Amino acid sequence: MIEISDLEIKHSDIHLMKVENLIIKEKGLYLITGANGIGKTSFLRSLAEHINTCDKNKYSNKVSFMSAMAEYNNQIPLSGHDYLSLYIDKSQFEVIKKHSVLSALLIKKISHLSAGEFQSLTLAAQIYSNSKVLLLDEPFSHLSSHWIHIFISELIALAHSKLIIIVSHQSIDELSKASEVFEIIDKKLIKRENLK
Amino acid sequence: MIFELLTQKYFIYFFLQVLLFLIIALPIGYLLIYNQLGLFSDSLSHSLIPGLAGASFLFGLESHTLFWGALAWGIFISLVFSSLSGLNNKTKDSLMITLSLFGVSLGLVMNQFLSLQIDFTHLLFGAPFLSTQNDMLSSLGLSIFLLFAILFFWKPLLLFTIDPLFSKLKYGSFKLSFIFTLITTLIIVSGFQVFGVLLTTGLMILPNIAFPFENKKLSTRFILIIIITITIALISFLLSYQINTTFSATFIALLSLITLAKLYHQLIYRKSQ
Repeated sequence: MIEISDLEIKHSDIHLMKVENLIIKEKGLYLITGANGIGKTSFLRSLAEHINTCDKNKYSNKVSFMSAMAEYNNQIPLSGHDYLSLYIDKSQFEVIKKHSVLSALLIKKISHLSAGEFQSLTLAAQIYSNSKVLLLDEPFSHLSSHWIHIFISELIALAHSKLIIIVSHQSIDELSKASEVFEIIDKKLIKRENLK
Repeated sequence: MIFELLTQKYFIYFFLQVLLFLIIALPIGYLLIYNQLGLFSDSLSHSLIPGLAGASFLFGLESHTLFWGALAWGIFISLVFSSLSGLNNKTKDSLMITLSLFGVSLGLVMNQFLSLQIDFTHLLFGAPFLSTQNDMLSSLGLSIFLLFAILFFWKPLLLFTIDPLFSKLKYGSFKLSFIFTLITTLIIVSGFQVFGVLLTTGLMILPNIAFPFENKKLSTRFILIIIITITIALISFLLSYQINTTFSATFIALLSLITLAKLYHQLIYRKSQ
């Protein structure tokens, strides 16, 4: 269990919200939703710092964070393969090569990829990394419904062995049904079943 | 006559030093540019000046004391700059400029107040053709050490550039920032005596901007840049000999002109799109 109490969420020194008491299981799938600008990304970033430092033996260097796409520097002339090798072990490439579309991206230059292609590569980098905790900020942006379905299936399967927390403004039934859903409303994090 | 000039020992030593320096400086210069830290190496090199003045005051004005002074002060400066890693870009940029200006002015004040007689022209432009076999050997030693350090840390440093938040969680913010700053500082220290502050920074940054070769693999790209830069160094050498000017200044002026032309062409091309 990861216990969070009195975690203050700020963005550029502006107070957004305070998470007073939250318990997260070590494995499972969580979905955080809420309106734009309400503090979902800031919450996820604070959570990353908190988990990374709360139990150094268990989580240090084992937390990975997927930023919203605009934050990546994809202008460096790397192939998809070189890019993925920064995140994952060699053995994981065998799994990736089984996906024909992902496999085709390995030989392309990342600066030549479309937004959707780059997003799938980045999401694959997180999914196949050896991190124990995956914090994914808007991971399905720019992806086609076909790819969203594939990745959600992977994430649901992965949630048996890892903790996955997804921030998304998209409403995806398949994901909502498999996750514990929280929504940020009025500067509070509220569990979906408690929403009235 | 040109052949005679080009086969002189000092000339061969100098070009070997340029080659060694480019091999270690280009990859780090490349990462600096992609991290939008092009002026960082300039700030670092300026911040070294009080260290040089201090070493000269304490141990005398010798080539090796300047080197050790720069090295010790450089490690201290790396710690200071790395501690800025948690700050936002605006504050970090302001602090770097302040530290850089403070470094130059403090160095000058120390030089005059303590009557140290450090030649600032030498600091800015170096003494490229006074390299001896011993300088070559110490350069070679430091360059090999730095080359191994760069190869060892290349993946984390590249990840630091592409995905800062992920790398911060994986490797730790201060640790990676310190390694990056320390390698940059050591590259500057390895080059400043021969090339001077201007040429050291110039060789790290300018060739990377002037010859981007964006479609080439990184390793191919660095090899091509080294060949072109060595050619420009050769042209600058002959030109400076012909018109009787300082080699380093001529070289940097030529490299800067090519870089400006490249950036101007890029600007015109974008406007026409």
